[in-house]
Amino acid sequence: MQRRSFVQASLAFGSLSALVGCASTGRIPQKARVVVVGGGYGGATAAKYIRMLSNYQIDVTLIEPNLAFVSCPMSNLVIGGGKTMADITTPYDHLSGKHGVNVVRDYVSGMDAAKKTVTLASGPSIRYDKLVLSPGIDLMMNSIEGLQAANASGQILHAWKAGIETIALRKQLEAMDDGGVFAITIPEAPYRCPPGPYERASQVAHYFKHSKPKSKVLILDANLDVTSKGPLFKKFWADNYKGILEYRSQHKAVAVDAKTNTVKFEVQGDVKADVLNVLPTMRAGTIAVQSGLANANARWCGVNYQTFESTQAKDVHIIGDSILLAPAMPKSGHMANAQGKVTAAAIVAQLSDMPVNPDPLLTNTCYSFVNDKLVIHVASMHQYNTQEKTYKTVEGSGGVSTTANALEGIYAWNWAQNIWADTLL
Amino acid sequence: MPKEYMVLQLKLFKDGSRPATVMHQIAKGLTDAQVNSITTYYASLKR
Repeated sequence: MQRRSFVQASLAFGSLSALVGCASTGRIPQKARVVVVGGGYGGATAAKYIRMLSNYQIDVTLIEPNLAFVSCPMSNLVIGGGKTMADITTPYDHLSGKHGVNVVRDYVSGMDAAKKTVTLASGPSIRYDKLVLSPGIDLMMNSIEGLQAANASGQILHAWKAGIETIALRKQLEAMDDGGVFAITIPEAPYRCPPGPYERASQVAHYFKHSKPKSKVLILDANLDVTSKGPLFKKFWADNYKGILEYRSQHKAVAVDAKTNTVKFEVQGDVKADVLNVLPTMRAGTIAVQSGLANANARWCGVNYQTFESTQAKDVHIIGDSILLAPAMPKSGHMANAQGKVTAAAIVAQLSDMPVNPDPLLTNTCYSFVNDKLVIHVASMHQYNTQEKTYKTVEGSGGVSTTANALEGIYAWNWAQNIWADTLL
Repeated sequence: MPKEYMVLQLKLFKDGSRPATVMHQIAKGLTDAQVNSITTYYASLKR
């Protein structure tokens, strides 16, 4: 990246941005060199870095239905009451104003990989040379009987896409009488954010301990054991939430009864709760599934890991939570951000007739707040292996915290500020 | 930031002589060539 071109672009687009004020919705072009679908950790990063790495020569249109970016990482703190929605929200204005990404506020309803077009919900189609799909996850409501209706009525929430359900779940917890039960069900891995449900349960337990001490948290996990940072979470729960938080493994939810606010399981007995938080089975975002790109168990999208190009469609790159994971790779925001950069570099190289990076490296760090101040992390390094055409964790690298600690509580919030800046500012 | 400083810090993280919460785990995943690429890039950025 050359500094001078960066500054020139900033000035040029900065003044343009001043003219259009806060209207961050761009025009809908007939053709864009690169179209990015989804402005989350993966898509927004890819859009920004394609602009930067091409010295602002490659035009990028980003299609995103939401007005602003609301972070899933840190959203459990809103549910716990320690942060507000404003704390975890970042506008898209800098992507458009500072980086010249054409941000179109719309939803992609269809795509045609042969004709190289995407179709917007509002009607028009856009042609592309390269398409980046970063549509996140689709929550399979039908995997749990009765959930679709109970969720639509606002009674049983997932809050697994940060936004209105995050606020709604917080309100349910605030409205619950002391002595009530909060139950969260976890689907079989892989799902978005492996430690997320355990962090959420910890946040709710912290809230109960201080504000509703007679209340209980129940974790009902379809998996055999805690899927991430298990020993650290379990030690903290035993030391701090004894009598408040209870963990039960091998509880695979199959149905909910909205009338009684009860969950039914494949094997174990029913569980009734005052606030039910049900996380259904997940798969790649809708556009990827309906376009036939989810070619692994009809759930996840196979990609060439060197460039993240789909194994199903040429010039379509898929990143983030939608992809079929390489071994030991988590579905996380940090990972999507890293994949966004590798993909941006590959696309800029390909469109410039340059060789792609033969052996990219991905990093991941994931912090979980176990109360309002203390944090545990897991970190990993994933090196592309050219022989085996997959990522392998680097031997001797990565690991977890020694114990929950306050220093990492500070680092975790700094991590969030930095990755939001890297992705969006 | 000077390249030499960054190379040294990553080395100290890697061999454990600089205390860290996470950076030692990250630094251990980097080859010398990758450390060279990263530090060259950051050293090229102006504040």
